[in-house]
This record gives sequence, C-alpha cells and structure tokens, in this order.
Amino acid sequence: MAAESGKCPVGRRPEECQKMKIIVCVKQVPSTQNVKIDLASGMLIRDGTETETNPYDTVALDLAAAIKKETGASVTAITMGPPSAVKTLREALARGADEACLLSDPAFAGADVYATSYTLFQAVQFLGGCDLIICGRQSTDANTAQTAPQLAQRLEWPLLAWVSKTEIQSCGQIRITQNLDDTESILTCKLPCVIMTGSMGTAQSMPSLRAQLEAKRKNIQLITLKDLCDQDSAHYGAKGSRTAVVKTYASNPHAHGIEYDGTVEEIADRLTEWIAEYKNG
Amino acid sequence: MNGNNKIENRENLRCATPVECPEDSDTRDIMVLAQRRADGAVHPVTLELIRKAQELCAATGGRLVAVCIGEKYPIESLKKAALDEILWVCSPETYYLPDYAPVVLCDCIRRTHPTAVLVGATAEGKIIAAQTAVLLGTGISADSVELYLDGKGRVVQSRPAFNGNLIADVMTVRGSPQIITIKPGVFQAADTNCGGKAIVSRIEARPYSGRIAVVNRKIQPAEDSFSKSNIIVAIGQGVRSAEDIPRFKKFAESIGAELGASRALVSKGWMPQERQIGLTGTVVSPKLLITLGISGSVQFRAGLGNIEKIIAVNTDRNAPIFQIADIIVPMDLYAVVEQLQSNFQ
Repeated sequence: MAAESGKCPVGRRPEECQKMKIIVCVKQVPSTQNVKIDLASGMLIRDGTETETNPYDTVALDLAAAIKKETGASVTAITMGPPSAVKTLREALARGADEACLLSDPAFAGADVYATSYTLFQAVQFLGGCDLIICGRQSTDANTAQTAPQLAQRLEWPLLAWVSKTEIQSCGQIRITQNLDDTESILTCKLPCVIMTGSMGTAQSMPSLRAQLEAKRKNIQLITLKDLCDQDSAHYGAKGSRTAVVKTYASNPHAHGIEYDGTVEEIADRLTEWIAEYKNG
Repeated sequence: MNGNNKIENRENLRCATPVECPEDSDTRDIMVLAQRRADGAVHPVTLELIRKAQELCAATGGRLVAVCIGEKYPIESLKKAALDEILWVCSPETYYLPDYAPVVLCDCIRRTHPTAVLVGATAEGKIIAAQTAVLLGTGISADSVELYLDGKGRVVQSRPAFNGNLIADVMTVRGSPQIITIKPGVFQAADTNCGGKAIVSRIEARPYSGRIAVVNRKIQPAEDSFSKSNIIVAIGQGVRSAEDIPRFKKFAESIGAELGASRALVSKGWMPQERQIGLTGTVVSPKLLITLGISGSVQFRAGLGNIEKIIAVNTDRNAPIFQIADIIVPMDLYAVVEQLQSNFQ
C-alpha cells in the first residue's frame, strides 16, 4: 500500500531516517447504532455503550505502520477521551504503534472540534513535537472531518488532506496523492506536516493475537491538564468550545406512506408500474 | 531537509493560547464562499448556499456577500444570481487553494464582518472552513441540513446528531462569525435570472505563503451518473452477502437505475465509497429512490435531497425508513427483487 518507495536517498544511511517521529490521532467511537443522548446537554452518553476504534483511524494507524516499516520511524498513538479509551490505544499498539498516550481530564470533557484540536495541539507540544501527524479522515460519531485541519492550523503546519498514497522521499520530504471531489493531485511538502487520510483501500485485518498480547504489556502514558503547557481549564472542554447545542429533538417525520400488501407477484406488478413511469421519463 | 531543521521545527512550537473571542459582529450580513468545480465553473453548491442566504437576508435585512477566489473566476455567471456584493480575490490560479483560501477568506471576513459564513462541505470546503474558524478563533458546525433565524436574528444550524432519530440545533456561542458548512444537494439552487446588480469589489491577492507544492493536478470528471441519476436503487444491511452485489447491479441496470448503498455496506468493503448515500457519503436527488434492506438512520436520511418518490423494502415494520417512504413494502428484499427482475426482462 503506502510508503512502498519510501527509501532513504542514495548515500544516506538508514539510521538517519530513524529519527522520524510520527503521531497518530485516534478516537474511540460508539459501535452500535443505538447511542443514547442526554437530551438536556445534547451530549453523548458514553457509559454502557459498546465502543470501537473509529474505522477511519485504523486506516491512519496502518499508514503509520507502513511508513514505520519503510523508514524505521517511531509511532505514538494519542487519543482524547475517558479512561476507558485505553482500549482503543491497546488496539493502536497492536497495530504497530510504539507508544500510546491517553489525554484524559475532567476539564477536557464536552469539547467541540475547536477545543479538541486545541487539546491535541497542546499534547503534541507536550510530546516534544514530531515530524508527521496522521489523522483519519473523520470519525463515525461526529463526522465533521474538521479536527485534522484545525490541528494543522494551530501548529501552522501544512495539511495534506484526502490522501490516498504517500511516499517519504527523503527523511525530510513527503510526496502524496490527494483525491478531492473532482481532482487528483500530486503534492509535495517538507516535514513536519499533518496528513488526513482519504480513501486508502480497506483497512487491514485485525492484528495478530501475539501483537494484541504484546500490546497489553505496554505502558500507556496518561496526560492530564497539569501536564500541558497551557493549564487554563477555560481553554479546554465545554468551556473552551466555541459552539453549543441549543436544542435537540426527535426527527420523526409523520409517516405518510401507503403500505402495499398482497402476494409478492401482486406487489411487484404495482411497483413495476411506478418504476416504468420513472424509467421512461 | 536535514535533521537539524527537524529539531528546530520542534523547538519552534509555541505555547500559544487560543485567539481571544472577538465581539459579536454588528452586521446581519451573510457571506458565501463561492466555490468552483475543478473545471473552473461555479460549483452547484454555491448557488444552493446563495439561495438559502437570500432567504435569511430577506428576513433580517442583511446583505449577501459572496467571496470568489481566483483571477479566472467566472464572475459574470455568478452575477446572474441576486447578490449584494462580490469580493473577488484576483489570485493566480496556480495557488494551492485549500492552503491559500483560509487566509484570504479571513481577510474578506475582517473587511465586512458578516454574522455567518456559509461554505459548501466539499472535500476542499471542509478544510477551508475548519482552518478559517481557527484563524478567527470562532466556532464551526458541520453538514447542517437546515438553517433558521432565532429571535435575535442569528443563524441557527440544524444537523443530525449521532445515531438515532435526533436533530441537534447548534450555534457558535463564543466568537464571530459563525462558520457553517452544508453538503452539496441539500438546498435548491438560486435563480440565475434576477441578478446582475451586485457590486464587484476586486481585492488584491496576497502572495501564497504556504509550503505545499503542486507537482501535478488532473481533473477527474465527477461521477455525475450516480448523483444525477433519475432512479437510484440503494442497498443496505438487508443484503446478506458480498456475492449478492452483482444481482442488485443487474437489477438496477435493468430498470435504468444507478446502484447506491448505506454506510454499512461501504464499511464492509462490499460497495465503493463513491456510492455511499448519507452524511458521510453523497447527497442524492433522484426522482425515484428504491431502498432495499435499509433501515433509514438519520445519517442515511441526511443523504436524501429532493426526491419525488421513495419505495422502501424492509422486513422490519419499525424501520425508520418507512416514516419517510411513499410506498411501504414490508417484505423480504430478495423475493421482491427477484419478482421485479423477471418483470423487466
């Protein structure tokens, strides 16, 4: 898949590439279709809900693992969430991350994309920066596709978004293929930068049992508000958010449809009339 | 780049605090980022946003301002829609737009102080809108399906929330303007016969200071056959196996339809991403939509534009899709498709 030709340039020893550091941002999302909402706050009730790693972040982890394989880069997975989000970090470790950090603090709760990207920005600094950040294209619960662009803007790093192929050309430059709605572009930029994955084919299969067991033994670093450079809690979570849910309501339009009953032949005949009408004009 | 540079970059990370919230803007003006298709023409979503902005401005008395970026922007065709002002940033076409646009959009916002900025949620638009919000220290909402005015004349954004039958109304409560993204196909397009009066203000382009180089860029014609099809057959979780996909393709072909799917089948890898209907996929507006084994989550319904008639086939009588369907068929989709297929042979 990715990074297949991410070789070091002639004359440079591979060791020089091993300094490259990648951070992958991942998110734990509800895996069921029946998520509960606190109607008063409009917030997700996470307790008691089945969770999974956001499927698009799995793509990001696999890309990081591929680049690691080619260049010897180190990979750190970070997630912001409740303590139970360590489950997602264990999966990240099993998928090839070397280290994992949980950003968790009551002050971080209730964050919109603005506050989330700020918290991640602070965490990247706490971790001493890096050369490349990889994010999945969006989460399946909030679906905004805005966190990666905002994180890049806060770092003032270039954003390479909707990336379908990557190639680390030398230790300091990346070349990518980008697919927007109606264009395909080849872009290059110097590291550091932020990659937001696009369509990169299906995610790879579950990590091996051995990898999962090894991941269980690894240490997960906890990052709280007091670890960060900016410790003003007003800049995080619901307080640091710029948007608020002002109202939530059920969206059940009144059913108005006509139910067709009868044998399957009868129903198909009636449907055929409708289809024929639209088919012919 | 060498290793020294890399370290320098890490040290350059600042302990920056967020931008302070600016005062709420005084104007009721609405700004629309007038996007383009890759071939240079006005993007259809631009006219859709203009139509919605016209409604909002008519209610508040605000002005409608469009921002166009690029020296070859087809200003004349945009002028055919009723607008008050066009801010035209005459930048070279070679600039890498997603990286350049946030900065110049901020320039335009600081010049006119709109209360809301509407951006089409195209792949490019999502990035531009998100980065503009950070530059201005203001809020952003994603993929609204409806906009309305509250008692103070501010724009409220409605969007489907999480899974389940829920709509959340969202507003930017700190910062200004409100940045709002809307998927293509959600609103109807503005009339292009009643314009021509907009003031065009040329804005000198600032140079591109980004670090991304475009090596090659080629236009891939958008797959119009899908989103513009007269009839769409959409399949969902009721489909039992990947091996069954060809029979639904064949059925769709035999009735002159295109085949789409809900997210369930796309995430399984059974159907391509470009064929996904819904919040994370495409908004479709066929005249006739036939859903087969689709329950109709809010996310899926967010992908339904202006559709004349919906025929829904699902064994679950409580499926939410039946609340919006015109014709309800509570039967096994395989039996129905088999019978229909024989009718169309």
